[in-house]
Amino acid sequence: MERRLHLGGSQGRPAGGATWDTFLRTIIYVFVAVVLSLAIGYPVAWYAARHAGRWRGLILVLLVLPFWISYLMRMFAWTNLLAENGYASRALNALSIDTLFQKLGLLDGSDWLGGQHIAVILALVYGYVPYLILPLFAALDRIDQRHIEAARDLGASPAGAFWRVVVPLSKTGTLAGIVLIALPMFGDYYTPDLISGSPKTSIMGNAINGYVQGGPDKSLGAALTILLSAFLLVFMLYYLRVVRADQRAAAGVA
Amino acid sequence: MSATTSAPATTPKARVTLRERVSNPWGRPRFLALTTWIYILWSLVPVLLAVRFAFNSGRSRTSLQGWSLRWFWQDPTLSVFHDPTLQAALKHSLVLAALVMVIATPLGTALALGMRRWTGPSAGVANIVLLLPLVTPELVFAVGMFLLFTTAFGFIGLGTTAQAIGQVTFTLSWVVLIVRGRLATIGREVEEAAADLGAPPLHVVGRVLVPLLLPAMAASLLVSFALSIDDFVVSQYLASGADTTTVPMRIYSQARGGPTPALNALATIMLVVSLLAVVLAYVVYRALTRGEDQGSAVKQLAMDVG
Amino acid sequence: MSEGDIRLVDLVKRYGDVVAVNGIDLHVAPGEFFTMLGPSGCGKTTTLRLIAGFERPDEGRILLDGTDMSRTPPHRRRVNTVFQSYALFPHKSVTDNVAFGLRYQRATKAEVKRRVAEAMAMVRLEDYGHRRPAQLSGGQQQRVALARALVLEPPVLLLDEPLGALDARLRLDLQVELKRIQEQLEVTFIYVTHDQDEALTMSDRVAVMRGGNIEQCDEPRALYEAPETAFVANFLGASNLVPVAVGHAHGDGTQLGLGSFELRAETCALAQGADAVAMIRPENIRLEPHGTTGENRLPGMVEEVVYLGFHQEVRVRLATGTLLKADVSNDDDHVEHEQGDPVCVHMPPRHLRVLAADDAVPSAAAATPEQVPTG
Repeated sequence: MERRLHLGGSQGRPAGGATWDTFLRTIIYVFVAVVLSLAIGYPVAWYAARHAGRWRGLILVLLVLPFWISYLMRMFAWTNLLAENGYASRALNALSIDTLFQKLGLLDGSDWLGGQHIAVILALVYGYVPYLILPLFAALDRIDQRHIEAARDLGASPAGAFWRVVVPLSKTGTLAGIVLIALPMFGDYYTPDLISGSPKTSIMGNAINGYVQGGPDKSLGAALTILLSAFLLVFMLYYLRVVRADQRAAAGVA
Repeated sequence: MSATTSAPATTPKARVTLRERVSNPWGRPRFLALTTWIYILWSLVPVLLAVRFAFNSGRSRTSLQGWSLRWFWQDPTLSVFHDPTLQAALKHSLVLAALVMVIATPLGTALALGMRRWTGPSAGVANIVLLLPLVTPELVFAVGMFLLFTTAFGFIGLGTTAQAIGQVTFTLSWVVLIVRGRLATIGREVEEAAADLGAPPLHVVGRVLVPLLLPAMAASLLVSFALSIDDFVVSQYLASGADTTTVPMRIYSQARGGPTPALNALATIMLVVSLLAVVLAYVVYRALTRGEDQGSAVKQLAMDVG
Repeated sequence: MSEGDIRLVDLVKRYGDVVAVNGIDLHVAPGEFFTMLGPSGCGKTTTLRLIAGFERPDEGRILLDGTDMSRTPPHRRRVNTVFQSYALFPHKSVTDNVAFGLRYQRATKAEVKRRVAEAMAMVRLEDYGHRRPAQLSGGQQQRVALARALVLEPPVLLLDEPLGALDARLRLDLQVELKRIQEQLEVTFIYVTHDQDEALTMSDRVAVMRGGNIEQCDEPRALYEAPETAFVANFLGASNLVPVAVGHAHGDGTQLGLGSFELRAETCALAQGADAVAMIRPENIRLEPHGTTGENRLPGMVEEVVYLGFHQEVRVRLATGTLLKADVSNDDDHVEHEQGDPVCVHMPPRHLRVLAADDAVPSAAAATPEQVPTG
């Protein structure tokens, strides 16, 4: 079977259409998920790094815990909760959040596990935010308290000091954390499979998985994987560079 | 330091006005604390509930129904102990984890030791290759492995061997990281001292390095075990059929099919086993390094500076 | 062939573009306490590591008792090292640490026991055998490191700033102990330090190093009293370095020009017209009453007096603008100097050494001559 290395697929079908849609959907999912993860992860990391006081050890252990719980298990837990009579479904119904989402067009029908974009995105957030919090924590922890004090000394309010000193200083760590969670999301197929099960929410991972595991078009799956890798290579190399620079800086100090 | 800079965001002032509280929620540690604890609850409670459902006495996976161990072994057909598919998954996961643990640890340790002396541009490349599995999306890695074992390595083919090889490949990176960290603490001077006193290179490794590396190796054993148990994508892609199914794969295939709490029970068993492994890794590492003055590592670093 | 003779021939070591050791020639006699002294980066530690075998030289030879060992790996060289950070094996007891190398000398169990006990007695740690390094103080760890190396009875012992991590009091005590042990065992010690006091008090000979080269290698006294370069003069003890013009030589010495004044130095190796500094130690400057006449006497004014206990440092500004530091002892018949006093500075010819000027070494800079009385 000859393999032609263009998006036309090995059988001449313009696979571009469906695959392009999937790609766009993936970008949107990842973008939203990353933004939400930052919104949740940043304050948590900041608290753990700066204000945790005597709870710090315990909080760190609890933040690291999800690493050692199988990702599948964590998603599986949500299938229990979001099922028709699950506690989460009931709670969301009781708080009228489901009607709110329906009005906003975010929820289609009442089955959270039935092909809902919002469910998949939130599941991605749930799954990956622990991986963001730790690098964020490391970056924020490294910031010398004296920078903040200097800013306050020069007249900045607490919020001002935060935005104008802490956020810029943690930029590298934040970017590294973002790359650390965005990359796996591009290869994720099991989250939509578990939480949605509908082709409506299929993302790049699903596409590749479908081709490689599913049908005769394995080479298309392989080709897609290469394209995805090329796309991600840029980000991977950036991440590696940040990590090595950090290591070198740490070694230079010591 | 002037009197105005007394730990600004951490000491709450005597009377905080409502306006201040609203206008700057970020500065208030209380708000942050609340966010953090809510996050932690949100992060862990679903899993705790899933574990709790494993102890349901009824068939429900969505509501609490009493306490029972039926799903673990009492139920004659559906419990983990009696259901052949669930049992097989459990056994296979443990076998695979044992294989990976026993292969990756010595291999990774030898790799870390061997890479010490490697300098020059090729060493940089080797470093990147080593770190690559840690940043590669699992799917990309798994697809690559899958294609490898269905083409060039077709003589090995898919199955337990392939699964083991695939898992060992990315576990190696972790082991090397752990061992390297420990090597850095040990420092180069003990090696030089041993050689200086007459020990040939093999003796330096055997009499000095390996004994000092035991904590790292113990930790690596346990970490590899935990990583293998939790792995999903690689094992799924390299599986060859029903008898090469692992627990995560079993959860994945049955989760949407209206399973009984036996699935929860299976997942709970794996959870407990892998958490135990990690806790043990930490405890053993600390216990084995207690005889040492950890401060001397700091002293050593300080001396290298001055 | 005597034991413990070390000879370095044209030794060169480069790290990329940096030349750490720049063609050194050195001879250490058996039983000598030899020190390499210099600021950090001067190549002394690198040289030591080359002798130990932890680095390979790029060029040159390292000869132990006549045999070139530059290609021999460290475990086969008959030299042992005491590290700055002690490098004790944390997982072994003190006794096991000390006994470590004896295995490679094929000593019997009884022999091992005896030699370890002797070594421990020599460093006065007899009762500490069962302890772990973590349970010892810095000074004790250092002594274990010493015992561990000496138990092997090497002809040469290398010591890399072994006292650097210890406090001053302990350092003095251990210096005495090290010297005592070295004399007792008659082992060649090659010692590296940046502390000039340490070097001067303990060594038979010192090599002062700078930028990968040996500036001067001599007995401590000679280094102090007859330094050959401005760097050595400045590194060992206080000195005044006065920029002068080298004049003509004659039977009794050489004329030097300092501004409008003339000085005579008894010895001068530099040619007429060379860029030079005259070096005189503060304790050799005589402060005489203002107006005293005679050769090598210049007028000056006391700028500052620093009381130092049993002596004082009197800083005098010469008519030429040069600032000199004179060291005056506070014994019963000294003259009290006060700020602003005019005084006559006498620099006896035999204490003046003429050295090549060196931009990297600070000299007694000339200042504006406004505040100086003339004549």
